[in-house]
Amino acid sequence: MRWILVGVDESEPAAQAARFAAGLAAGAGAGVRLAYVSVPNLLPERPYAKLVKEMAEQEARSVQGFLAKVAAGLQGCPVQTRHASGPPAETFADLAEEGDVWFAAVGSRGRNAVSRVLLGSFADRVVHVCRKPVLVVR
Amino acid sequence: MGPVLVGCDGSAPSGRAFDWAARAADRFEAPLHLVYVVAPVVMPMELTGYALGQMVQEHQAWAETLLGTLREKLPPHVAARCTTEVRHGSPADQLLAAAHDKGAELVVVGTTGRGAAGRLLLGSVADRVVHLAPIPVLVAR
Repeated sequence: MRWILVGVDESEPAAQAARFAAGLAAGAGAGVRLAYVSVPNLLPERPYAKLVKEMAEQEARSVQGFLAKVAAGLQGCPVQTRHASGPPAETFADLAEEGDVWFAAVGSRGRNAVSRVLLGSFADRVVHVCRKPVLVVR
Repeated sequence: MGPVLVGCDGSAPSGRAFDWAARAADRFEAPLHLVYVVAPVVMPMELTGYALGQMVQEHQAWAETLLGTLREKLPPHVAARCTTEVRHGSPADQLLAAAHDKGAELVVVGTTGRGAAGRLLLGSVADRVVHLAPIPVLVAR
């Protein structure tokens, strides 16, 4: 099975990209794989090991809840979810390297969007570094 | 679905963009619009003996042949709703203008993909199109 890897965050453009991808997937017998990338916090492990671990666990629970909610809103195709952490675009591009990823899809702007910016930094960087085809949804 | 527009320049990456656009047009029963943009020729003034006007005409003729050849590769039902166009000017801006004029709903562009600068894989035309297009853009690879 081929999957469209969709980068999602809590923004409306991301939700729109997920719906658009689901429509494409439904028509093509493919599935949608929602990917959420958390940015790791910059606390040093050593004195903060416990706190860092707790924060990561909390983030994981919160992201799983969010992804489940987005997945529940999509219709017509199988949906999978992925959660990874690291530099957002590079980590997303790495997820796109998986052999069953057909192409990647991203919203043109994310949650930190400035309205006059037509293409957000995440989408911009993804189209630069991703080796799979990238669909920028508007 | 509205027209799918694809930029064609005869290069291997643009061939991949054409393949994606053709599949999308087929799948969504959309019109397919093939666009070639003849970029302005920049030549040193000292070079004489070249008739610029004639070069542009030859370039245009070559582009029309290329688009015709691509059109013939399409399945007949896709070719039946495929149109072609040669434009002149800045490639990215002309692709965007063509998308606007056609009421396109998806633009497909290829990318140089040379990766000369490490992981930087995007050509300048694709870069400008993804930044400025008001509609979805597929960067084919």
